[in-house]
Amino acid sequence: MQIGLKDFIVAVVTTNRDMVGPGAMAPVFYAVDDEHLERLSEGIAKILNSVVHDVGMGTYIIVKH
Amino acid sequence: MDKYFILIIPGLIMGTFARVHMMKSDYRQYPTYPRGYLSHFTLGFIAAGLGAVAVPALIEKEFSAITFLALAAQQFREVRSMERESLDNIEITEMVPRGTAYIEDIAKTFEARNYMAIIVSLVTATVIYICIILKINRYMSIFLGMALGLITHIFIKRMIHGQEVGDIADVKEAKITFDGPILKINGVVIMNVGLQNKRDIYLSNGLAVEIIPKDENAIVYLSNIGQRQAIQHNAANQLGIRKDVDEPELTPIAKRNSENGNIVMAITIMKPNIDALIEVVKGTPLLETSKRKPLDSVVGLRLMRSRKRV
Repeated sequence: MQIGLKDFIVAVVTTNRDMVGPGAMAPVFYAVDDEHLERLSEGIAKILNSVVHDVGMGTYIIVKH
Repeated sequence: MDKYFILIIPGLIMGTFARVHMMKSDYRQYPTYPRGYLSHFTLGFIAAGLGAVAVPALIEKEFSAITFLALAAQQFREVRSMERESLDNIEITEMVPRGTAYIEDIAKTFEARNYMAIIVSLVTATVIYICIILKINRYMSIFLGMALGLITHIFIKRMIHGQEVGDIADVKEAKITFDGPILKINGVVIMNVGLQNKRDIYLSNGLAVEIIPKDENAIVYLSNIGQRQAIQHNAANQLGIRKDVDEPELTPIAKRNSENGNIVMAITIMKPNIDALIEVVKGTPLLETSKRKPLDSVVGLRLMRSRKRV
């Protein structure tokens, strides 16, 4: 049996500082532009075997399913 | 004792033949490995032996011998848990898991095949014995016994052969579209794909099908998550999925259109071929565990009647 996290936001990557509040459970990464946003979130998702979801307004959440 | 060999040997042969005949190696690749074959062949042989020996034991009024059949049943239940356990153990190594329902179905099939070996050998031995009582020629008795054993085998084989998705539903090609990051198939929302390059993979290598149930029974049948998982597993396994472990967004997902009960599924394939995908989906076995017949219930029958009246 494998034990691990499921359905959990492991990171938030955003270009929009207004979208994330302080005290978030997940680490927040600020990207400088859209290209950086894509690259950063793809890198983090690859490391953690997780999925990138676009929640709009320049924010991606990386979720372990 | 020698006189019983005429019952035991043909029974043993027919029972073992029945088990071996059911051991086919197809896309499931299970159990194609020689070790799997050998263990199932041996178990089938033992099952056939038990069935064939039961008849002489009864003739000799050794009624306690019947308890061996109970022991055999216990043994074959072990076969089921053995298969279940081994498939469960390798589940984490599968790119697209089979799902517990499919595993349970496979395990049950293996158990049932051993019972089939017992029944076939029992029928063969009984028929030969009856023929001998009726003073029919010895060779003719063996021939009749084997023929009836074969008929029993074919009958049981037909009986335990289940339906396939194609029998209860139509499968049609569907269209993959993106509404921003939202992946949709024929308008049904599937998932949110954040990365542009993954969306491009879906658009270049992705195929989608819509499974349209033929009646209300089929709607309930296909809504079962285990059944959908089996379809996904078969499609990924047979067509070659374009995915690796660090790309979970490319895992095939079958979603249900809750308006009408249709199932839509998207999958990324290395060499996309829609006809092959439709054929695979149609050929997926329907799992016993997901079988429901709401139309046979009191409410279902009433609904059917009122519909006919209208």
